[in-house]
Order: sequence, then structure tokens, then C-alpha cells
Amino acid sequence: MRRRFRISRNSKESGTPGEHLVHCSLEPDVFASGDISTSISDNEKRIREAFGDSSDLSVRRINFGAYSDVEVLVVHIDGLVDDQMVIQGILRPIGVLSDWPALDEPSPADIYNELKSRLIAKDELSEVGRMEDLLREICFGNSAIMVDGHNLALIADVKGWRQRNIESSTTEPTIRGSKEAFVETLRTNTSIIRRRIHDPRLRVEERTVGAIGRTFIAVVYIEGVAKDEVVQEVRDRIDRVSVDSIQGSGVLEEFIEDNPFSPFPTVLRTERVDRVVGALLEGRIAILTDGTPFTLIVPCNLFMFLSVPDDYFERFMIGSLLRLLRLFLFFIALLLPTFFVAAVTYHQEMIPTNLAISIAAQREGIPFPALVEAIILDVAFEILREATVRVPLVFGPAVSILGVLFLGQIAVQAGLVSPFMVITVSLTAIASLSCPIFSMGIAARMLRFVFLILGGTLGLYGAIWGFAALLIHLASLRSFGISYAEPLLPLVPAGLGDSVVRLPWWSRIKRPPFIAGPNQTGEASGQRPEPPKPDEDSGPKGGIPR
Amino acid sequence: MRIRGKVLLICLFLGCLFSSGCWDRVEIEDMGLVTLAAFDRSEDGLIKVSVHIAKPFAISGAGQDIIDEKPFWPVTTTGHTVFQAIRNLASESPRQVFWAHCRVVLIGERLAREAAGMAQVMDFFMRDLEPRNNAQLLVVKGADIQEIMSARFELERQPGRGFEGLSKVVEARKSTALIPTILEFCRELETDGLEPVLGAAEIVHRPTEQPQQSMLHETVVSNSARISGLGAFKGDRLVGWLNDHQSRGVLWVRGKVKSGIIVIRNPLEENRLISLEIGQTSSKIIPKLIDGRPVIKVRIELDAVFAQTQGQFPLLSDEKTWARMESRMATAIHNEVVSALKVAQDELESDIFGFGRAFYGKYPREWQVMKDNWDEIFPTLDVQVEVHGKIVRSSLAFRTVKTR
Amino acid sequence: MNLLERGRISGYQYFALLVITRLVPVVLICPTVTLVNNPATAWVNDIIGSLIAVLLVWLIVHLGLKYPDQTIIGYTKKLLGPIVGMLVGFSILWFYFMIAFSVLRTLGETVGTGLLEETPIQVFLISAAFLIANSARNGMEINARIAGITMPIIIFLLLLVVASTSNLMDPGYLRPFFFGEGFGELIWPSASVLSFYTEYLIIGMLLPYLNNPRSAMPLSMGAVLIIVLILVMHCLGMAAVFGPLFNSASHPAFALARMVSLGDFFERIESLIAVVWILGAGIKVCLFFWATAVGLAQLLDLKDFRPLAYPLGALMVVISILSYESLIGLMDVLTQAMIVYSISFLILILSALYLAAIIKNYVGDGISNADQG
Repeated sequence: MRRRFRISRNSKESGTPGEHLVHCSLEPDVFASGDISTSISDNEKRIREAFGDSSDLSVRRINFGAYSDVEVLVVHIDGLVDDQMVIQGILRPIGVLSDWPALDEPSPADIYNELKSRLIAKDELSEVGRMEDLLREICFGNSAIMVDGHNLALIADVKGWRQRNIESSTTEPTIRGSKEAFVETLRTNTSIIRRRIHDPRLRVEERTVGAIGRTFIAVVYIEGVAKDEVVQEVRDRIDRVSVDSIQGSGVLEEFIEDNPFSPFPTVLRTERVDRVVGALLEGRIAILTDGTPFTLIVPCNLFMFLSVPDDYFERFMIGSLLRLLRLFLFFIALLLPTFFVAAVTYHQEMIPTNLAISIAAQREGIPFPALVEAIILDVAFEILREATVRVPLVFGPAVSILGVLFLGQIAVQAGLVSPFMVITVSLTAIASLSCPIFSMGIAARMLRFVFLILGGTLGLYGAIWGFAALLIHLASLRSFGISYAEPLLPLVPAGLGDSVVRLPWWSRIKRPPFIAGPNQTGEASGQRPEPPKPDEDSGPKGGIPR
Repeated sequence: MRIRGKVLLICLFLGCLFSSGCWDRVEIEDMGLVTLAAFDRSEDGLIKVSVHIAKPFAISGAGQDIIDEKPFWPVTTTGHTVFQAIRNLASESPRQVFWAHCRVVLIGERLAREAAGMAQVMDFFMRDLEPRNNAQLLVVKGADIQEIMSARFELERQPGRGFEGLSKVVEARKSTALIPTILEFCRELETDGLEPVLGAAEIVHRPTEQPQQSMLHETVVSNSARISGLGAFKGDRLVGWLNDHQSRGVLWVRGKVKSGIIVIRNPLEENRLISLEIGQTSSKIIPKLIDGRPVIKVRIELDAVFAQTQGQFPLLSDEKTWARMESRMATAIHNEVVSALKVAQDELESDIFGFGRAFYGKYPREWQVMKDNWDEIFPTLDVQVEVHGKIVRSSLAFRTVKTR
Repeated sequence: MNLLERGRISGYQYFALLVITRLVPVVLICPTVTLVNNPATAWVNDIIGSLIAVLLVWLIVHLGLKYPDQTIIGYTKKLLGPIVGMLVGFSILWFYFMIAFSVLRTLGETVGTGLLEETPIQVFLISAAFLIANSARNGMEINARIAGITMPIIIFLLLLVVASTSNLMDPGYLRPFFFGEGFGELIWPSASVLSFYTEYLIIGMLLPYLNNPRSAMPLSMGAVLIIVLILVMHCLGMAAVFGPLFNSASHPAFALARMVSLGDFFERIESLIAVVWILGAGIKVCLFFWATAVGLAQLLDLKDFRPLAYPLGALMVVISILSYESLIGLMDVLTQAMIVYSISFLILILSALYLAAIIKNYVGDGISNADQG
């Protein structure tokens, strides 16, 4: 198994970051380090000491057979291992072997080798010689088998624990796409991806990050489709992380993202399987973290945050229209209140006369300037949103009723805010919530306040100033070496087909050139369905099969 | 360190921005939106400006429960210059007067008849950022501007909108007046060999209705306004008025007739009339120099629709009658043009047709000489009018309603 | 020679930068129109000016292609020697810087007269210069990318403005094609058109950063062609709408935008259109500002141009405030002194550089690089 091999190799290289960290953040433990001793009593003592007699540590000493008094030690953590597998694969074979007369007066090494070739586990058994490796394997949910008088331990993979079923995503609902979402278990998640890409070139590279937590991180990509430099960059960045533990992909995201001070997320977080698979096929890289269903996709660009896999499953026209709509909504979420405030306080000539008079009529008697009114309503909306998300489910209706009554109705009747402003701000709020990836909606919401203040102090000039600053930021932002706003900044007309709109599948012959590696041809050309031509009988033209 | 410096710089910058204040900020409810404006010369020789300022609170938000109060505030001020008069509004209006929503501008006759009277008003509209220079311009015929500002339209609560709607409808359905925008008027002022015309607004006194018993309907429309004919200018001076008949004559030559009705005698029954509706039209001014003498040929083409008849409806196969109708239509139009020409050449001596411009377009070199004494040439200019009319459709009916 | 800048721009971005550079004086203040006598013939000036510009641009690009890996500052130093080269280099940089602060001032004046009348112009100058210096510091790539998406929008809005004012157009104002004061009246307006093309001396700075320098010639010519089309179309539209008022407006394109009426609902949206054009002006200032900063660093053999950005930015604001009294002063300079200065300067620089290149070639000193073009 690659992972185990990698870890044991890492343990011998003193310079690797993970190992370095073990020593600096934890007190060196005399019991937990050094070679495994030949005496299993000694080993047992050291293991018990290392775990501090945790109650879930299961240590079993078995006398190996009638013909010798060699003892075998089986250690694992209860609850992390599959009980049936331990009994069937380890304990029963030990019992059967020990009764076998062929092993007459065996040496500990013979017994060890016999066990190594006969015990049953999911993978091939591996062996470790050092105590810290052994302890780590136990923590991962493996079973360690030691023979008295031999200084190596066998490690059997008998992992098995309770896990959540694969369910549909709650944060990214879908209408026509696959309902499967990732779960908390890394191995299940990699298997879900494998089930969709039946190709040996799908690479799953696992590493552990975190000195205490030792979280498994899997870097998944397709060899030959993803760019090698990008893959290497991802490896490097993950290897640079040195932290106690990664609890959730958000922690990892903060360590590996490009610009922490950007309001825009440069790493896409999703729990949808189809989104990850689609990204892999485009040449992107998925980073799976054990313990969280949220997978990171890098490199990503602005438009990935505004698209959903459903776009690809719907017919292309509606898919394209929905994308344009979402782009429009993003601009609304970013700029609508700014525009409204700027128009009402600086550029009143832009408002059609009738509308101007009715806005003025509504604002009659409102104590605040339009800018303050907009900020008040925006903040009120944020309060409502936060409350609705955090309160226990039973209080949810109460919060929404209060919000609707107080903000929507009474505030208007009391003359605190004007109906037009309520319409503007709620439209903006809905637009920002409709962003398919939550983190992009947050970016729009944060920037909205900046724009609002700019537009409220310098009118449209302030707004364009802010917009220019935003463009400068976006144009310089990169995600793992790839320009963040790629098909627009810089303008790549070929890229617009699968970002601003979604062109039909049969027209997408190339993978996105700015992401994909050497093999850029994604599909055969000439697949557009056409009515069959009578004088033509070759070529994959689609249409009605003959 | 670098980041801290950057943040500090941005904070400083934003701080400067906000602490210095927002100079141009005016909340929309603190603005008095001008919906209609009129300029005139007052009796004591000052410039008088009269405006309608919208009263937003008299207009309910969603159009429900209409408050029975006039939704505008008429106010008049004077000043030595146009801008002074306008700024003097500030001493009467508690809200900052805002001109961008003023879509109709009326000019009083007294001011219009002055030399450089129109020009100073136009200068304000062309120079200032606020007012829209595609506002429509009308000249007031007869009445004082305050009187015409008191006109009410039953269909529009804002008289400004009333005048705007009226101008559009008259241009599009009747074509008896031309209501240029301020830009177009200024453009014509400067154009060589073309004198501007403006639609004439005049007051209509309606018999006062008996106040009804209900408290809500106390206000009674007594004055209304209508657009009738054109005011003809020479330079920026108003020199005379054209009636509807003559106005359409001018519009025919200028090619601005969009629609309208031509009434002719029915060839089958001479004492009965037929109405024809004007359809597609086109006109061309063809300037010629015959022995160095300028001659103008105006060629008008139109399609008309048989719209209504008092008497018989000729058979469709009766080509002779149709041809007679067409020639009568051509004569009617010819008469309109000739009457306009007569007024312009004999009384006004103002080239409101743009004949001089046509010469400039075709004979720019000769025009350089001609232009200085065009005022003498124009009244005696030989103008031939040629009308080619066709009746192309008869709408939904092929015969008229018969009485037994 | 140290290029000081790692960024690369694509052919399209180069094209976009050139187009924006020439369109900014069209959409903000267009001094050319004030020189025109007969609006009906104004488009001829655009064509004459552009035809001469084609020659100048060809010379600039041709010279640049002789040294495809060096900026104009680089080969000026090389061709003219350290002392003369330094002087000429400074004069070129001053030319860039002058354009930068003039356009910045234009930008400020446009916002001040068109959008926010009461706000002091310093606010616009300082805020814009801050952003510009910041963007230039990040390298030209950023600016070029923004130019790439802004250019089509600027052109689209210009076409929209012309198309949606067609109801006001009177084709009668496009006649006659006649020069009342003889063909001499074409000289100044055409020179004014040409004077804005002299800004294409910036090509000398852009060429070495182009992805594929070989494409510079067709791209530059394409840019001039597109600009001529837009200029002529805009000029005809303006003449037809404004007629004799053609040469009265201080901001002609803005004045035209005031007439836009889309479906009776979107009216008076000139501020909305103008801010996009102002963004274009910002891009142009940024380009010339960046050229000044990088050129100065190269001239003085500095290792990095970035520390120059903020001080130069502050200087740009100060000079732009001090050098012109008002919009009228700016127009005065742009319609008289600037025309003479920019055209004669460009001709002088080009002839000096070509002469030096030819002499070096004969002497044999420049064999290694002079024949590359």
C-alpha cells in the first residue's frame, strides 16, 4: 500500500516536515520512540505507557501453540478495527497455526515469517521496526502483531468503523445532477471518485498533515490531463503546512491559498462529487481531507464559483442562460445598492421622472441619508441571515416572522426605511445568496459594503474607482499559477465558451488551455447531431444510427 | 511590515476621502424636480422664469389613494439674466431646484420677439450640465406665461407631462406643428439658410363646470392648452405665426409630415367631402441656378389612405375617379405649401423652409456670394411645387355604408 | 539590458492598449472639433491625420523591431551614447509623463464638469493617481489585461451612443463637401488628429514585452485602421446630430451621450457611459505612467522600477494641477502648443534615432543588432 510505504520511508528521512514537527511540538517520549524490542513484555509495557492506559486500547497476548512457549502480542484500538476481521483474519489463523505440527520447535523468526505469509487482512501485511511507526499504525486503525523474540512487528489493515452513509448534498442542492455527496471518510471519498473515473491514470496521492491530528490528505488528479507543474505546486504547498491538526478542509485552504487578503476565494470548496469529477477531467486537482466532506479544488477561477454541475446536465441553451443569469446576479449582489444610492444622491437625472418623483415621495420623512439607510438595511439583513442559520431549528420560524414583520413592514410603516430601499436590498440579498458556492457569495457581500461607501461618497465615480480597484486585484490574482479571472482577464475568447456561457458538449473539443496539461484534446470533433446524409455512410456523425 | 504599510496607506486614503465630505450629495427628497418651465420678459424688463416643481408627497407611491391636491407647485421669479432668475428660485423654494427632469420649456411671446431673447435661454440649456437639452421647446402664442402655466390637462396630473404628450401626439398624428428639442432648435438657429420654427402653444378657456357636491372634486379645470400652428423665427426673433394649414405647408417642404388628414371634395358628389389620411411621405428641395438666378423646385410624394367619406365610395375599378381624387389631394397639398410660402415670402421674409440651406448643399461656392443678400433674394425666390400623391389603401371596407 | 519587468502582453492586449490610447481623446475631450470649420468635412481630417500617422507608426514599429529585446530607452542609450542618449531618453520620458499628467487632468476635468460639479478636482486626481500608481507597480500585465476587456466595452458604448442618437440626426448636415477657406482649413484639424497619434511613441516601450514582436506591425496598423473607422463614424454621427453646433461642445462625446434615449426609460445615462470611458482614460494614464517609471529606472540603471511608482504618482498629481489653469487652459494647450510640440518632437526623435542607426550600421559598430529588423 502506497501510503504506508510512504510513511515508513518518511520516518527514515529526518528532514521531512511532518517528522520534524513531531519532535518539536510534542515532548519526546522514551516509550514511544526507538526500535521495537525483542521482548514483547517490554513492548507491551511501552505501548501501554505510550497510550497512558487508554481504555479503548486492546492488547491480546496469545501463547503460540502447544509445541512452544513463544507468545504473540496483538494490539489494536477497539472501535477503529473491524471485530470480525480481527477474529477471522488474525486471531483464528494464529490459533490454527499454533496447532500445526509442522512447526516443530520453531524459532521466533520462523513464527514471524509464518504469520506474515498466512495472516489475512485487507492488504498485504507490512512490517515496521520502530516503535513510533507502530504506534502511529495503531492510531490509524491497524492491528499490530508482535512475536516474542523478534524485533519486527506485523501490521495488518483491519480498519473498520461506523461512518455516515453517502447522502445528497445539503449545501449544494441539485436538480438534475448526481445526488451523491462526499462523506467524512477519506477512503470512501476516493472510492466514489474511482467509481466515476475508471482509468488507472487517476492518481490518489496521500499524505498526512498535522503533528497530532495526522490527518490524511489525498491529492487526486489525472496524470497527463493535469499540468505537472501545478501538481508539484500543490504537493509543495501541502508539504509546507506544519500545524497540529487539520480539522476540516478550511484549515488546509488557508494554508495553501494564494492570497489570504483577497476577498475572493482562490480555492473552491465543494461536497458535490460531480463537481470534483468534472474538475478532475478538466485537469484540475482535488484535495480530499479526511474527516470532512468538503473537498478542495485547485486551481480554480472566478467562473467556477458561478457555475453548477447542473449546467452541464441541462441542455446547453438553458445552461448558458442560467450562467449568464448567475453572472448578472453576482453583479447585482455586488453593485445594485451602490448604483441605487449613487443614482438617488448624485445622479438623479438618470432616474426616469416618474420613478424619481415616487422615490422622493417614499423618502419623504425618512430620517437617514440614502447611504445610511442602505447600510442599516444591509446590516439588518446580515443579522437576519446569521440568526436564521445559527438558531436551533425550532426557533427558525420565529426569527423569520420577526424579521419579516419588523424589517419588511413595520420599519417601512414607521418611516424608518423606504420601500424602494427594502426592495433593492432584499433583491441584492437574494442575489448574493443565490451564488452557487457560498464563499463567493460572501465575497460579494463583503465587497458590497466597500462599494456602497464609495458610491455613497463619490457617486458613480466612486463606484468606477472601486470597480477599477477590483479589476486590478482580479487581474493580478492567481490560483496555483493560473490567472483567477482567466477567460476575461486576460480575455481568452476560447475560454468564454465554458465560463460565461456553456457551449454544447460536442463543441468543446479542447480542454481549457490554461489549466489542462499536455493532452488537451478532450473529445473527438464532428459530434454534432445532424440528420443523416443519404450519400454518406461513414464517420461518427451522430443522428439516427443506421 | 509591507502589508501593514499598505493597509495604513489605504486607510489614510479612505480617511481623507470620507472626512472631506461628499460635496455633490443631495438626497432626492431634498430636491425640487422641475417638470415644466417657462421663460418670458416681465413688464419691468426683467427675465421672468416660471416653473412647476413636483410635489412628491402629493403623489402617492403606488398610485393608490390619490390625494386631491395639485401635485406641483407653480412658482415665478425674475432676474436680470436667465441664470439669475433661475437662481432666484432658491430664495423661494425650500428644496434645491433640479432641472434634469424638465422635459418641456415654454417661451413667452414677448421674450421670443426680442433680439437675443431666445439665445440667452438656449445658452443656459446648452451650457449647464443639469437640464436636458432634448427637452421640447414651445413658444406661447398670445397668453402670458403665468396664464398658460395655469393650464391643466384632465388626463395628466403634471402639466409638464401634458405638454410633452401633446407635442408628441400633434407631431405624430396631425403634423401641424413641429416641436423641436432644444438641441434641434439651437442647431437650426446656427444653420445657414434655414430659419427655425417652433410649435405654438395657446391657452384654451373652457367654460367652468359647476362644482360638484362632493368635497373631493372641488378643483375644476378652466384653462387648458393646445398646440396650434407654428411660430416662425428669423434668427432668434419670433416674427410671426402660421396657422395649422400654413404650418403643414412648412412641414411638407421640410419633409416632417408624419400623418394627418387631407379633406377633398368627393368627385362623385361635389358637395360631399372625403377624408384622406396621410401615409408615407417624402419631400425634396431641388435648388437650381438658371442663368445665375436661383430657382427652387419642391417635390413632394406621398401615399394616402382613404379614411372616410361622406357620400359615395368610388368603385375600385373606376380609375378615372381615383385619379381625380389623387389630383385633388395633390392640389390641396399644393395649396397648403403655397399659402405657407406666401406668408413666409411676403409677410415674414424668413426662410423657414431651408431653401438657402439647399443651395448651400448643392452650390456651396455660389452660396458664399448669395448668403449675404439672401434676405433680399428669398422674398422673390421662384418656387415651384410639385406634388405626387397616391391613394394606396382603403383600410377595412371596400364600399361605404349604404342608406336605403 | 535589464528589462525590469517580467510581464508579457499578448498581441490582443497590445492592440487594445493602442486603441484605448487613441480613443481616450475622442471620448473625453476632443479638441479637434473646436478647430473644424465645416462639420460636414470634419471626417476628412480624421483620414488625413491617420494616413500620416500610418507612416509615423510604421517608422516607430520598424525602429523597435530592429531591437526587439530592448525598449526605446535602451536603444536610445545604445545608439546615441551615454550623454546624448541620456538627454534624449529624458525628453522621451518627459513626453510620456506629459501625456500621463495631461490625460489625468483631462480625466479629472471630465469628472468635474460631467459627473460631480461641486467636488474639488483634486479628489479625482489624487484618487485616480493612487490607483494608477498602484496598478503600474503591479506591472503592465495587469493594466493590459484590464485594457483587454475594457476596449470592446468602450467601443461598444461609443457605437451605442451614435446609434441611439440616430433619431436626432439630420443627414442634411453632412453636406456640402466644401472648404470655404480653401484646403488650408484642413491643416490644423488634421494636425490635431495627427498629434494624438504621436502618443504611439509608447510602442517603443511596449514592443519588447510583446509575446510575439513580429506581430507588432500588423497589430499596430490594425489598431490605426480600427481607429480611423471609429473616428470617421463618430465624426459623421456628431456632425449629423450637432450640425453647426459641432464645434461648440467641450466634451463632444459626452454631449452626444446626453442625448441617448433607450426605450424612453434609459435617458440621461451619460454618467453611466462616461465612467466607462473614464476607466479607459485611467488605463491610458497607467500605461504612460508605467512607461515613465520603467523608462526612468532603465535610464538610471536602477534594479527595480517599483519604488519609483508612488513618488512619481505624487509628482504626476502635482504637475497635473499646476500645469493647467482650467479646462480652458488645457484646451488651449491641446489645440495649439501641444500639436506643434508633439509632432515636431516625434519627427526629431525618429530622425535622430534612424540617423544614428544608419551611421552605426555603416561604421560597423552596430552590426550585432542593427540588422535584426
